[in-house]
This record gives sequence, C-alpha cells and structure tokens, in this order.
Amino acid sequence: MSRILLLSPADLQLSLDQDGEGTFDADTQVVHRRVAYASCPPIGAHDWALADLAVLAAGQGAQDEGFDAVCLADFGDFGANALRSVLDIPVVTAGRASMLHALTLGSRFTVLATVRDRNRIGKLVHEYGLDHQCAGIIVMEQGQAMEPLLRQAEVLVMAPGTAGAAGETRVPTVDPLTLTVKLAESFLGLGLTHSRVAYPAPQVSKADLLTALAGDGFARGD
Amino acid sequence: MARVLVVVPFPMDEGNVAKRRAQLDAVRLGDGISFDYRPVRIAPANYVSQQDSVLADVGILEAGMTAQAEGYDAVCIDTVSDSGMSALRSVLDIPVIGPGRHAMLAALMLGERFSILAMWDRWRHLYTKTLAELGLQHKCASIRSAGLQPNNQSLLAGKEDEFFPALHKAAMRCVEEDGADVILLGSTTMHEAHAYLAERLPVPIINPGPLTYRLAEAAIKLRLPHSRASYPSPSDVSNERLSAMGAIAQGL
Repeated sequence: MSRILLLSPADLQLSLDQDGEGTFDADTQVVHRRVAYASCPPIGAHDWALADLAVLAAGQGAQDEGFDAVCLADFGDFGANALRSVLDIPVVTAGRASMLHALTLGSRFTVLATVRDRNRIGKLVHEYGLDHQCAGIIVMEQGQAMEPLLRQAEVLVMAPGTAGAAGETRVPTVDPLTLTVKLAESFLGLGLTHSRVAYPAPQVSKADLLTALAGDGFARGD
Repeated sequence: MARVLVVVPFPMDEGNVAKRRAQLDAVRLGDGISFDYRPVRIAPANYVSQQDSVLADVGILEAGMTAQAEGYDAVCIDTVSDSGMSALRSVLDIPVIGPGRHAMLAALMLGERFSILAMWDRWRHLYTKTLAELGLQHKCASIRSAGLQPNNQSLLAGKEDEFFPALHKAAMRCVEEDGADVILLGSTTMHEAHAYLAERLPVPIINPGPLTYRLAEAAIKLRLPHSRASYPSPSDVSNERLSAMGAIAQGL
C-alpha cells in the first residue's frame, strides 16, 4: 500500500481522476487536501512567499501521518524545496516534474498556462536551468483559438486551468496532476527519494511556528 | 497485460540474459505488466568509440523495430548510452525508454546536480553525448570512473570484493569533491552494485535499468509516447534491409 498526500491550491478546482482504468497501482491510495494561500491568485513575489508558507505548513506532517510521498499539484511548486528539507519521503511537484518529464518525450516543451501562473512558470524555467529547452509559455486567453499557436510544439505541458484547450492534437500532452502521482509511485517502487545534500534538514524544526502562522489556511478535503 | 520489450545491447546466451533480467528484482512494479528480454544480433565488442556507437544504434534499431507490430506496448533499452533510442522512436509509436536520458532527468527531480559513476573512463563519450543532447551539462557535477574494466556478459560476478569498494570510493569523491547530490550508475551492467552503494552513500543513487521499467509503465498508463515532431518518421522503414543485416551479423 502506498499512501500519497496530494496538496492542491484551494483557488483552483483540481481533481485527480482516480479512475477505474488502472492508471495507478491497485494499492495506491491518494488523499487529496486543498491548501488556501493567504494572498491569491499567486501572481507575484509577495503571494509566492505566503504560498510557500501555506504549502510547507500543510505538508510538513505528512511523514508522521504515515504518508509515503507528497505530490504538489500547483504548477508553481510552492513550498516544494522547504518540504523536501523537512521530509524524508519523496516530494513530487507538478512544475518541475512535468517540465523534466516533457524532455523525456521531446527536445523542447511548450507550457500552456493561464495568466495566474505565467510569471511563476517563467521564474521556474530559469531556476531549473531549462531556458534553452522551453520553447515558450503560451497564456491562454478567453475565446482565443489555441490550436494554431500549439501546432509547432514538440511536447505540451498543460498547467492548471488549461485542460482541453489544446483540442485534439497528436502532440504529447503532459497532465501534471496524474504525472506527479505516477512519478511518486515510481520513486516509491524504486526506493528513491530526494537528496539530503541538496535539501539539508534544518537544525531546529519550526513545525509549531509554521502551523501557528498558517492558522486555518488549509482545508482538509480527504 | 502490458508487454514491454527490453533490448539487450549485446548478443548473449540465456544465462547472461538472466543477469540482465535480474534488474527486475530491484523495483516494485504495478499490476499487469511483463518484460521480455531480447539480445541484439548486431553489436560492437563494447561501447568505447564512435565506431561502436554506430553499430550499437543499428543493432538496437534492428532488434526493436518490430516491437509494435509484435504487440509490445513499450520498449526499454538496456544501455545507458541510449543507443538506438532516437532511431527506434522515429519508427515506433509506442514509448521507447532510454535509461541515460531518463536517469538524468529523474535525478533533477531528486536534487540539483548529479554525477555519473562509470566503471571506466572509456564510457565518458556516451554521457557527454546525452548531456549535450539535453543541454544539461551545467547540471552534471562530474563524470567519474572507478578505473575498472567492465564485462558486459558476466557483469560484476566474482569481483564484488574488489569492485564494490572501488565504486563506493569513486562515488564518495563525486559527493565530497565534485558537489553531486545525486549519483547515476553509468551503466545498467552495474546494477549488481546498486544495493551496496545505496546503503553506504549519503545521496540517492539511481539504478537506471529498473528506472526504465517504472517509467515504461508510467508512459503506457498515461498514454504518453514521445513527440513525433522531435522524432519524425522516415519516408520508408528499412525493415527488410535491417533484418538482412541482423542475419549477416548473426552468421559471422
């Protein structure tokens, strides 16, 4: 049995299709909780700092609760590195995992996003050292025909809020939500987790402080 | 039941194929997936020069090109060189998983900089090629070898006492001197050392063959094959010509 905690932002109605088609291992159990950020939508650095805090507070107890992995559904990867620093279990994040996985499928990827995530994705692409591999970030606008913009893409990464916007396409299309859970299963199956050298543990845990600061900011949806 | 073809990059007998198949013991897989192992007919003696790379590409293409028609759902290539991966992707619509590319990208989901731990320096060109293709040279802390001559048939059997500590010593230098926070085994032939190293290293170490099995399963279940724009189809697939080449090589 693999128990996976999925954290998604409360401002987006993301839901994991735990279908009957067998996408996930039979013994995988996903518990989905929604996290409310203090400042939303998270379009700039002020909002991002508060989103980091909210996600860290929501996920820091996952290991003690008996979860085997944590998946972060927000493409902004808020709180991801901080969670890795306090958890030994794998933390798989939608933005990082989707963009890296896209490069297993083609040479360059295109991200389709809403205006909510545009700035954050640009920042992450640069931080992850993927400027040369990212063909572009296309912001979906209401009423705009997306197909012509996407025709030249090698691989499409669909940030939250863009599902279905690419229409019928032969271009490989990465759905970050299902991918993160599938990769979490993979890491668990291989006995892998993140590097403690890359994500050193704090000398002093501030779990109580973080919980107090976040207050009731996250709502349980399990 | 999903079926995956694992292309083994050297001709070999069933006993040595079993040493390759033993990589399955290192991963917990989901339900309903099985793996068949097929050695190539065309191969170099080893993978130490560009001549060898040409033969490896052709040999793996020949061994895997009919996989889709045979009913397989994915192909894994059992060499970190990723030889033949691009060629197979150009002729197959099913996922084709190369351990080199996938291990480097998976490493960046676990840390910031990785090192590649090789048996010997003569494999270096294999890694620099994939790093260049990915454009991720800046994420590679080092390529280090233990200065050990590999055997692509018997693998590490009988040499554990000498080889395992030497690999551990080289891996520790990757961490302490080069700044790696994740290590990749530089060859699927090194899989027998993985558990020994994983117990002793302060950083994650990726076992690339078993990784491909899990990622093949993920690709099948997510219905996520490679991009046709990145791997365009040939105007005509040279099936007969390649099969004839395989028969020639097998007869030599």
